[in-house]
Amino acid sequence: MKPALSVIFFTVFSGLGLGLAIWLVIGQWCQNCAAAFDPSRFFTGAAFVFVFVTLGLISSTLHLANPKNAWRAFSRFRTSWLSREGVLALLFFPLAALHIFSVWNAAQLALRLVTGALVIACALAILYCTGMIYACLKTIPRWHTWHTPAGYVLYGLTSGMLVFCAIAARGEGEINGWLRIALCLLIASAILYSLANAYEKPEPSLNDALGFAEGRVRLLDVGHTHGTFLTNEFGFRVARARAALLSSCVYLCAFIIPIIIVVIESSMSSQGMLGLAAVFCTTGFLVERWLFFAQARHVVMRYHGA
Amino acid sequence: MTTPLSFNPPPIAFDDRSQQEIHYTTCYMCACRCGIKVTTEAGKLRHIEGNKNHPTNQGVLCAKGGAGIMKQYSPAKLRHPMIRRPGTQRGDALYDPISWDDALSMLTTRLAHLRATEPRKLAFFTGRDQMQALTGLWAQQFGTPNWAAHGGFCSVNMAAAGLYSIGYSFWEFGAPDWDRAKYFMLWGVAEDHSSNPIKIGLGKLKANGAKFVSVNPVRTGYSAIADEWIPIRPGTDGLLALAMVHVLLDRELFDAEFLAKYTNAPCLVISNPGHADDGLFVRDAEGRPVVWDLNSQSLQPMKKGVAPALFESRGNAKTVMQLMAERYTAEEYSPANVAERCGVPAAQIERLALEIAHVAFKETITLPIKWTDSYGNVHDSVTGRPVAMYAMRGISAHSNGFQTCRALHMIQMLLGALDGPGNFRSKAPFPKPIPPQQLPENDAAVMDAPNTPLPRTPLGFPTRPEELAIDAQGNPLRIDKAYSWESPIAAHGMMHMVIKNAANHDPYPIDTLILFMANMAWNSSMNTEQTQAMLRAKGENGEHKIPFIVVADAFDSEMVRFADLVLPDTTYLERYDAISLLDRPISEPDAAADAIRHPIIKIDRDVRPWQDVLVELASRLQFPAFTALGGARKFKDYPDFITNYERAPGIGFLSGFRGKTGDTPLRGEPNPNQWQAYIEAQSFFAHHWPDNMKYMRFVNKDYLDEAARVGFIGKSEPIVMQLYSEPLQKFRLAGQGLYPGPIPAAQIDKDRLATYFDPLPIWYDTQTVSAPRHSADAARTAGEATSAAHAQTSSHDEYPFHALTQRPMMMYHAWDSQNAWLRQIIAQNFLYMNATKATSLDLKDYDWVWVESWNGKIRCQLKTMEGCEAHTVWTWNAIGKMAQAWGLSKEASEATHGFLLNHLISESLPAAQNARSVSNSDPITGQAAWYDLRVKIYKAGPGETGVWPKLTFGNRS
Amino acid sequence: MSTANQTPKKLGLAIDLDTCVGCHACAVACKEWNAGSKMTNGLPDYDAYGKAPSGAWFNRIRNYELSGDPKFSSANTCGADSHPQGHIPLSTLSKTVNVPMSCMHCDDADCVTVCPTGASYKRAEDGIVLVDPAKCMGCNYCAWACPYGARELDEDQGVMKKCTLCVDRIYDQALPEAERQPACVLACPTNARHFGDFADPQSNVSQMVAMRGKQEMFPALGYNPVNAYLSMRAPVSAPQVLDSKPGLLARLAQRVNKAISL
Ligand SMILES: Nc1nc2c(c(=O)[nH]1)N[C@H]1C(S)=C(S)[C@@H](COP(=O)(O)OP(=O)(O)OC[C@H]3O[C@@H](n4cnc5c(=O)[nH]c(N)nc54)[C@H](O)[C@@H]3O)O[C@H]1N2
Ligand SMILES: Nc1nc2c(c(=O)[nH]1)N[C@H]1C(S)=C(S)[C@@H](COP(=O)(O)OP(=O)(O)OC[C@H]3O[C@@H](n4cnc5c(=O)[nH]c(N)nc54)[C@H](O)[C@@H]3O)O[C@H]1N2
Ligand code: SF4
Ligand code: SF4
Ligand code: SF4
Ligand code: SF4
Ligand code: SF4
Ligand SMILES: [Mo]
Repeated sequence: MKPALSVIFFTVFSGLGLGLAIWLVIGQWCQNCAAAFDPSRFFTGAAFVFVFVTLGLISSTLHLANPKNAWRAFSRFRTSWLSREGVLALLFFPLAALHIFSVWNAAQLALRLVTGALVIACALAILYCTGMIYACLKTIPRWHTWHTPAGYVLYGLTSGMLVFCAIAARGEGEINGWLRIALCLLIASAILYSLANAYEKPEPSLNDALGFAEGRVRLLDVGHTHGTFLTNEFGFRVARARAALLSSCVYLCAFIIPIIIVVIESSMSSQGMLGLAAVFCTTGFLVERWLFFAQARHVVMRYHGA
Repeated sequence: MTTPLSFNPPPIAFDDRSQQEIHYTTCYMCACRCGIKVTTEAGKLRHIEGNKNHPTNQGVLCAKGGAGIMKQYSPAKLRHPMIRRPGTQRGDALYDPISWDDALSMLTTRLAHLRATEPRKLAFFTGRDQMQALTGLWAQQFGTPNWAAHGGFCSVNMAAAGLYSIGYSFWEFGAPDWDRAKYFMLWGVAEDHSSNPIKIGLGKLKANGAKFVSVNPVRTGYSAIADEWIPIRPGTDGLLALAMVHVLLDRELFDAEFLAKYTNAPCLVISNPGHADDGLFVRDAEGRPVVWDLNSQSLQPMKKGVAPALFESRGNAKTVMQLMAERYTAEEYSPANVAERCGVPAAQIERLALEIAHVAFKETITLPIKWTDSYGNVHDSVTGRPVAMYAMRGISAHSNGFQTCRALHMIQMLLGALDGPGNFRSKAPFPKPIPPQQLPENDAAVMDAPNTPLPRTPLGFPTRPEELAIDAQGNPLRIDKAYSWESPIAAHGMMHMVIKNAANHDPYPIDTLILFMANMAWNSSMNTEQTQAMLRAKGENGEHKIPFIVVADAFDSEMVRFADLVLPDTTYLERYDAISLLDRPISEPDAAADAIRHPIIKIDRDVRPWQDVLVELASRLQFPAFTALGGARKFKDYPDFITNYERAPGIGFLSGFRGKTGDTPLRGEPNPNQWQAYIEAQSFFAHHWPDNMKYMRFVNKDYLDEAARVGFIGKSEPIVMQLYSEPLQKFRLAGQGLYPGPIPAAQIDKDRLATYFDPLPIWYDTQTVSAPRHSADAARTAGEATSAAHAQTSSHDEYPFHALTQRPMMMYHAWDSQNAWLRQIIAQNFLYMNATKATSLDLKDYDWVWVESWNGKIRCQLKTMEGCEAHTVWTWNAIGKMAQAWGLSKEASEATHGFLLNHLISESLPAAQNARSVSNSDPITGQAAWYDLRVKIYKAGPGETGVWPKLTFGNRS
Repeated sequence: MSTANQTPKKLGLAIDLDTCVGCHACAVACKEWNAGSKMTNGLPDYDAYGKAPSGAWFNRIRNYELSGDPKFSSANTCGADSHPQGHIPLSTLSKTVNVPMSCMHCDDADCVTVCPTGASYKRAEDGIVLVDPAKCMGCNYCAWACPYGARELDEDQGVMKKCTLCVDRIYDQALPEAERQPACVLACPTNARHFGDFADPQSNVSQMVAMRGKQEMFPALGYNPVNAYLSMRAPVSAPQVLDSKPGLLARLAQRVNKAISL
């Protein structure tokens, strides 16, 4: 699949924003739990959420060939994951506003719990929907697995958590508890990524594509000399070596470096490098997302001999 | 999740018919000439579809036909007459506009001078047109023999072999009976002129459960759906066919009645080696060939009441059938002996023969149709041997194609599978006498007479050496050397030799070359790069070797860019055209048919239909047929000419709606409203034959009477099919020095006549035609030819591959790369090679390779396939283009990646020792031997990519 | 796998793989009809006369080679075995197969399910799958969901386009009845394309499928295409004449010519 930069940015940044939102809600709930979260950082965080999610949403419209009809995308939420994502994304802003409002007004914990839970549910649902947009496609076997929504949710939570930690670290209090969660998330993400990466769903063959049970079919000619919409959209192939290289890059940036930073930072008092960890992690996930598309093979390419 | 359904879908937006107009005309995206229904909206094309009522395409439309709309939008359309800019060279492609008035007066002055002095200095050759009746008449009226259409480089082998054997032919004049055939053999056809009819036919065969066998080195297109595909080694079909003849004869699987009654199988042939009558027929006092009559036990001509003996020897004479039995049952023609050479296992050859015999004789069709034969016998039914065959350029484009095609006709005659239900049927105005009684003009004095039309047409069918177009010294009279010793039966002329001969002033210089609808500077020439050099060539005096070149074309072709004067034509939707029975007919076996085109789109540029230009020039030059008594012009324009011109009383270009009131078809007075009548009748006319005239037309009295009445043939008499061709034998006698008439002087001509003009079909290795003596003195017989072939292995080893082209179904020669839709389908051609073979040579898909013949080399890109005979490589024809021609940008992939094989094919063969170089043609008909090409192939070096040679316009010395 | 959608009519095409010669006539007829159709509203060409011409098409023809299917094997071997430079074994002859592909109007058309705007829809009455260009936002998602490559974006207008099953022909009362057929079906010179209602067991197309059998593309994906590809038949074989024997020349001495009078 052609890795469209707008979609890569959209999914990574809105994922990060939504993950961050979830942690902000939780952090603000348990300001004084095992790990501390300085409430004064809440609004900084919220501002980040707003920027990331909005940027993500804007960039998601960049790949539309006819954005003036984008508003119609909310109409088919009963059947389309893409529509659901849109509707929920739209819902997210008022919910988030409500929660911020309740926090701003230092409302009752119960109210903050309710509005916060709504935000969390909405954010998780959006992440899940985004994953399902891809996972529901039977035409792309590599995506058509639970790894996909799991990845979208988990990677959102993870990158969000690192940003959350970086923000939290600027405030008062001990954040090692959060760092431990971050560590767990990073490790879980790394495991999921290795699983997804190693996962080779059997791809249907050209024989399947054409419905020939016997013999072996090979392509003779595709019937057009130059590229078509189909070859442009689906014809992208990344070389194995390049994919392997980029994949190590994902491990390094998204997981290894952040883990090292988190581990080091847990034992330090200043914790100034957490921002760096978030940047690395996000960069790693951008590469992951690029590979997510680049390595996916659409079955229609079988007809083209690929 | 189940798909949501829409119970309230948006309304369907239909075409607004109130804004539309419907017109019927004839497609010209190729020479198939299908009927089309054209919908226009506000004067613009909306839709083109097939005309359901049209006999040719019955409603279907091919890819090219559908893309006709885009031709109208082609940026390559010429816009006004042009003259080469002073100071520029041919091929620089720099032109100044010139008005029609100036262009026509300039041309008239030049032509008038030639006509008054040396008419032969005008050469007029035409390509993909279907108006040879008009262009031929024009040349004849001008008084030059130097006219022909493209047939010589196209398929004259098929036409000539048919017309010298069965009275009609695979090429254009006959068609398989698709509805009734039970077995169909297709030899060397990728697409054919009958593009849609063949496809419709294959669909019918499939629906009827007939068996379809395709003999073709490559499995694409039609061959893809064949029940049996025979990947024959190119150039060896004659061997395969004659081995089938071997089986049929040896096992007595032939239609004795058909042979005895309708062919010259019972005619007695004199055997008198070394004498002038050797190989000629025994004739009676009136000169008629005789047979041994079993009834009267005497020699009789074939006439009513005679029972001809098939196998007979009388004195030194034997029947043709006897000769055939002796020759073809010999071991040389046995399947086992030819199998390796053809690449077809012996058992398969034998099985094919036994299968067609089964279908012919055990699955015979009988129709209860009463008919009368020419001898006066009334038959209650017609019998059909439902084995149909069709063959085209896979056979004809080899230098042994004429004899190979005759071998195919021999199979048909043995089976009696001709013009009956289920087999290969004739199309009006054919069958004609064998060969048609029309001799080419060959009188030098007549040709040189100033301002005088030729009494005979430039083209015809010689039957003996006296009828060649040569002078007293034996030199060719025509610029293309057709009807010379080198190509005695060049019935369609030899367009592929015109530029070379004219540039070499051989046999003489010409002044003006008019090319109409032929892309001779590119895909239609052999040896393209050198051909361009010949077009540019100048003599010591600084004058061009070919002083003046006029090109009449509708588009910015490569050839246009080498012209001195360009006369722009219209598109097919903008003009009147007559598709005439006097020309290549669109008839079907069940109906004589012709058709018209008429303007549907208004002309928006300064262009004129070439037909109008021809009538205009003819009038200005005062050709007798175009000039009334007193010198006034007879015809206002082309439509007027078509309406009123009569070739013979009552016979004109269009056969429909004749007579003052339009009710005498085929023959009748001119009808002033004929065009209108055609337009109202959806632009075609079909005269359906009654049942009693549908079959056996070569001896069908009612049909032949009618054919004679309407002028298809001279008189109604049986057309006896010629297994044995006496005309060939006369030429052979000339080669042997035995003929009591003209005899060639050069040894090579003698050798070629003696070797190849066998009166019975033979096979010979195509690589021997430039020097029959050296390689295959007597390539007469297959056995020897096989060993001769082995003797030739050195050349075969050096160039181990046969290199062929195929017609892509969705492209027409040069025409369609300008078409925005068709070029999306194919804008680059590849060289295809057998995949296993490629692996053995370490070649793979998309490798750039060098392809080298003795004539030169090219670089192109390779693709592999399984369905390709292992010694064969091939590509799609005419996809490669010169950069910037055809309205394409400089980087168009047709020019950067597409290629032509033509560079590798030379128009002349390397001269053998002490011999003249001869043209790369069939030694009998002069048919261009495109597919004799042999090449070697090797991987291009690192960095060697892109097509080579990459010719450009502009100065090249 | 989901259960197949049932529409009262299932209009679609039966395409005969045994008869298709790969001529592209249907592809061009489709392009031609739709380029001017009000329903499709134009079908773009890009770089039409330039370096790499391309454009949107609803029907494309591809060619394949099938080897090793015993149904089509034969003793002949492409001549490779007998080549003097080495014996290249070629087991069986391969069969070239031409495959035209356009929208299959699937019963379970995920392209419709996934469309967020509702621009893609499947008509309840006849099962035809269409795009409403007025609603499409050009997200390409439906094309991703289509295994058959049936959808192509009109880059000029930014909307997705696809085979309409010539809905603007088959229901156009202004057309003579015989012409209320898809353009590609009318054009097909070999009669390899047939239009009809697969929900009606008596229809031409259902009968053909019953007689000939069909092959489904990507059956495991569960789209349940309505269009059917009629399978390639086993090659027709002809009997041979058996009651004949070689040796004409030897028999000629005794052979008596039969008198057949003219
Ligand atoms: N679409 C389309 N239609 C056309 C044309 C076009 O350009 N495009 N051109 C028109 C013209 S001018 C002509 S002359 C006709 C020609 O129509 P065809 O006769 O179909 O011409 P070719 O494409 O040359 O096909 C020759 C076939 O013979 C095969 N072949 C080559 N050598 C041999 C051999 O030795 N033995 C056998 N058995 N087969 C062999 C080739 O593989 C190829 O399939 O088509 C006409 N129709
Ligand atoms: N390698 C190789 N070369 C071959 C062949 C092959 O098989 N292999 N085949 C040969 C054969 S059989 C043939 S017939 C030739 C075909 O060769 P040509 O007869 O030369 O056909 P085209 O190349 O199509 O060129 C015809 C010209 O007609 C012009 N034209 C098109 N429509 C009109 C019109 O309406 N009016 C006018 N005035 N001009 C028009 C086109 O612009 C083009 O310049 O090619 C031959 N060349
Ligand atoms: S075969 Fe095609 S291009 Fe040729 S005349 Fe017929 S419809 Fe036109
Ligand atoms: S073929 Fe593709 S576009 Fe057509 S209905 Fe099926 S999934 Fe949708
Ligand atoms: S491209 Fe248009 S039709 Fe396709 S899914 Fe997006 S909005 Fe729907
Ligand atoms: S049914 Fe109409 S839209 Fe669909 S492929 Fe055929 S011609 Fe094209
Ligand atoms: S028009 Fe018919 S024969 Fe030609 S490619 Fe289409 S389906 Fe096949
Ligand atoms: Mo030709």
